[in-house]
Amino acid sequence: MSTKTKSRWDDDTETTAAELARLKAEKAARKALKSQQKQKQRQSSTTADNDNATPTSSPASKRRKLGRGDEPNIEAGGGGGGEGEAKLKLLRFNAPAITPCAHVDRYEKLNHIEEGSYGVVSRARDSRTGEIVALKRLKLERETDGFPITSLREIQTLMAARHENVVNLREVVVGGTLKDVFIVMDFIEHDLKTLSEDMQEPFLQSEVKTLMLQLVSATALMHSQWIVHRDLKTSNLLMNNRGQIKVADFGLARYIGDPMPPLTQLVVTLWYRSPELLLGAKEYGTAVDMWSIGCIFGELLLKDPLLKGKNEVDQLSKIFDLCGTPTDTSWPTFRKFPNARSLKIPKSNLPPQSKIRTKFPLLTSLGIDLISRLLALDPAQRISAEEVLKHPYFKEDPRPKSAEMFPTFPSKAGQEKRRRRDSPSAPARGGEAPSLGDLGGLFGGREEEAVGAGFSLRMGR
Amino acid sequence: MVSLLCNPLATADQLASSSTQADGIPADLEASLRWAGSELIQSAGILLRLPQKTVATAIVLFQRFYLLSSMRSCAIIDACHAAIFLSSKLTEHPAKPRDIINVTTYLLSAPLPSPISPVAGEESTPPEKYYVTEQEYYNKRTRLLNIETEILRACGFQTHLSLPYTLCINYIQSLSVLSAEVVKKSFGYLTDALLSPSLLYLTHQPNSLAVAAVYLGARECEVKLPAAWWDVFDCEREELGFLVVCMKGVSEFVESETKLWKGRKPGIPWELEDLDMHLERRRVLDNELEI
Repeated sequence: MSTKTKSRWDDDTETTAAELARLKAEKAARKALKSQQKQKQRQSSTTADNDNATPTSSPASKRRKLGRGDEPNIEAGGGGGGEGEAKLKLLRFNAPAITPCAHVDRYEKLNHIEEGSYGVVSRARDSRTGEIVALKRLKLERETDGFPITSLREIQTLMAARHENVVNLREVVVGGTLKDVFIVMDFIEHDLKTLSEDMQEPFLQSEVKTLMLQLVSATALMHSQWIVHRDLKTSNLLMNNRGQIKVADFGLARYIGDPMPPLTQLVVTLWYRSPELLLGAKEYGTAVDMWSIGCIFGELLLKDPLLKGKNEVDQLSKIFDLCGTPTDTSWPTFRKFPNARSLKIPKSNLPPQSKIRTKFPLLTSLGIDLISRLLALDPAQRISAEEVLKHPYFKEDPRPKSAEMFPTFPSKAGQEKRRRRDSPSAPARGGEAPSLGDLGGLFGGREEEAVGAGFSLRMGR
Repeated sequence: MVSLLCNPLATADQLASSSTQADGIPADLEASLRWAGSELIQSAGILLRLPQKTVATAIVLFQRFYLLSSMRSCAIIDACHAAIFLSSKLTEHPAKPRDIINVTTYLLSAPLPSPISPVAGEESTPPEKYYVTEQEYYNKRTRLLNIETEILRACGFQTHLSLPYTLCINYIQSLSVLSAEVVKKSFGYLTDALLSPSLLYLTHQPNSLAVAAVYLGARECEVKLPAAWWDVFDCEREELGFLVVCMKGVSEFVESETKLWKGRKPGIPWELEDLDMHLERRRVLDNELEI
């Protein structure tokens, strides 16, 4: 639908421009009406001819429509185009109906898949079609402020982000009481986290490229719809047996605007959280997702999470360790963040080095370029989803493996329970972001370390 | 499914079979109640300093809800509260239940038309008349929260609503007739259309609404537009004509409703008990007339 809309707008601007040009000509020739009529007749007959050649070109059909509206006698002169002129082709969408929720009875529960802080997910069978679905029961019992805004956002954004790499929301069904609300989604066999844990070897370069392209194209769609996901991580990327990944769990997703409304910084699972969030930014945007994608990229290559911080401070220190410390040139605005005040960056003659190159010895230089731009400390300099899709890394050999060629894996989530994960979970909803307090200790103890590892730290106290 | 140009619409069947009327409420009273609710939401939205986006969404949610639910199963005052509350969350401008309830109580304590900006010289309502006791507040809040979920269930969580305001500016710009006057007039008609008894926002897509508003706005500002320009924005001449008549008719409809209810005692039946009493009185009156 969204692509339709886009092309629709293209059409509009084109036709309006064409129309305006025509209007100007009309103004000039207003006095000589008769000659203008002739001109129009000629014009419409040419468009009719054009139509015969390319019957689907909409700008031509628009001009023809206008001609028809002006002069009904044109049809006689139109010749072969007369048949098409009788009918206007207007853009029509099939409007979704306003229908009440169906009852959850339609679905037969099979087994429990997992339980998060936002709901319980089970595998179920649609008793009408026999299809297997995932049924997510929202936890509403403890809600005191009505239907939770986060669940509203989850449903809203899932409905808006229709994409082959986003998990498909089928419908929302309800149970007997007002507290029973279930989201019905397609059932997907694996998630990328469990899958890669069970694999002996990391994904091949060509496979990583395919996965990245799928992930980024889904993200590009979300961002074009003003949606930020805010919890991208490997355990939220589901994968089916046809080599397709699906972005899932929109529990923290929301719409953003331009200018940004103030947002909570307590989003994104710690290991995938961007430096600006850790530094307490209240205004942030789609770049937080791009950072998470950078972390996922690294994780796919290494088969191990890239930045496993124990807490917020440790996470920041791991980030600066990998990407270098921010400087006034690499991130001009970072000192403005609330938590940056207590951060003392050592002044050194040596430029703060990024260790990304050494971390990924087998990656090509284009690959290094991509991951460095995804993991750019300054959100303003971080690469956007659209730009990633055009990145030459995906054009060089090895080419992305076609999804159909992906190996299939034994389905784990089928009948048995999933393993509990040992990665930290997404921050709880509605919680207060902990103040990092004194970040002075972030580089503590480092001053004794030998100088020469790229940068030196000095505790100015 | 979700698009800038596409909203969920009511089907012909849904419009023809009103469950409110099936529940014994005459069509004219249903229209009155729908108008009163929409008007209350609009006024409350202004006092709550909510953007028009939130207000319009609330009115459309309110109308979608009563498309399928009966006004006898749920009091319109509660539906108004819930629609404002839900829309304020959907459009990311959260309003508190307490503020919503306080504001509507204040508005309903004042005589029609609602005193959004009190008329100079007229006596303002004494504060005791719009004081909400804790007990009242908790009752209303509980109902608000229940109806909120009811609204979501009634429309299958299909809360998507694309409003025609931005499209309207877009169209005016692409016709190269952008001026504050035209925009103001057109926006006025779009807001009017929210109160239309023909439920324009449930029956027409935003592009058509925007085209009709631009047509009226331009005509009133005596701005000339090219012939058959509405074709470009995918609006048929017949649809445009219908919408123009409806939009022009709103002010007359509102005037007649205001006249009908102004100073009337008892007034608009906001609560279910009021509604039952109203229907009972009406039945008695009808019987008397027959005799």
